[in-house]
Amino acid sequence: MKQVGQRVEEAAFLTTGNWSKVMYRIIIPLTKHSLIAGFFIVFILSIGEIGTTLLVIPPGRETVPIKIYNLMHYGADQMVAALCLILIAIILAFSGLFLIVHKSLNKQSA
Amino acid sequence: MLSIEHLTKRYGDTEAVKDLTLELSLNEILAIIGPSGCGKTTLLRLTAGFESPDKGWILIDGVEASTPNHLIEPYRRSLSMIFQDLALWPHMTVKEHVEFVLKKNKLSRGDINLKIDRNLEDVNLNGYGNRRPHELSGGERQRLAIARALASEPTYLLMDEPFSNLDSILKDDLQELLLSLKNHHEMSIMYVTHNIEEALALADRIAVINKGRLEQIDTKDNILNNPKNNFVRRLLRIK
Repeated sequence: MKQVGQRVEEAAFLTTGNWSKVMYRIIIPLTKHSLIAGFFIVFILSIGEIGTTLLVIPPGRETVPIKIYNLMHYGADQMVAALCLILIAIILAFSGLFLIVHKSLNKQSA
Repeated sequence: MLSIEHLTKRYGDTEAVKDLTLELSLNEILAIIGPSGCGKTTLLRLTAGFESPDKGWILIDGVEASTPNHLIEPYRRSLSMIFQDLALWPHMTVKEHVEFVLKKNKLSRGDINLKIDRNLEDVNLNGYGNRRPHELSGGERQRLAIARALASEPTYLLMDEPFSNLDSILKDDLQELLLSLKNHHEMSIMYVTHNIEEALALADRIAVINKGRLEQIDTKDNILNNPKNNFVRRLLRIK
């Protein structure tokens, strides 16, 4: 959000005096591309995350990557392959959604 | 009247503004002139209320606006500011820039449209309402910055070297526009510059600042005829 520039924010705050309005009308529209890209990168990294999940997950619960990890341990290769495909499909679906949102935002600001 | 009294602002060990006292009268243009890094912009930011002083105070129409312990928010000071880089909003059209300012006053849609038209007419930008800043020329962007600043009908207008990157013809046109707007809207202008020609063309009085300290403040004629010291003489190129 620092990309927006202090002066641009100050110019808005000087005229309106309302930080929520400055955020909603100035900062978010100017940073929306970075915000969405940031969300997407975090999403991709989080969905396959395993190390931290293993430390904090309560007993009796599993995420897809942990399930894959356990199944690999037992040699259930077909199940592992199926779950990996599901995971890839989810990531591709979100990538598609990301591209659609990104394109529509680009059209709006053109 | 806007009064600045014994104002001091420090950044670490550096004193950007030192014990500075000056006044801006109603309907006056005061040019603040000094070399780069002398504290001119800091003085404007203190006046606008973006920074609080370490010592001294600022009175706006008799009300304490800035003291070391108390700061009236910038938008409550009946002032506007034009920044050096203009700080326009790249995603908004010309109309939306003015509308953003006017919406604060909770006017009806009709009144807002009327005011936008009048405001853009004032700065000769009518017909440009749907353009974004990147679709405007340098001079048009300057006029948009002026239009946005005037939309809130300020009593005081602070300008931070707004015409520094323009050619001389464009600069003359904008200075003329600024003078006519000032007389029409009856406002006072604090105009920061390092360019003596700009200061002489616009200002009623000139304040010379060096290393955060006020060297001299006087009317154009007095300061040109009686420069207080060698620094003022050199800065104003008086032989």
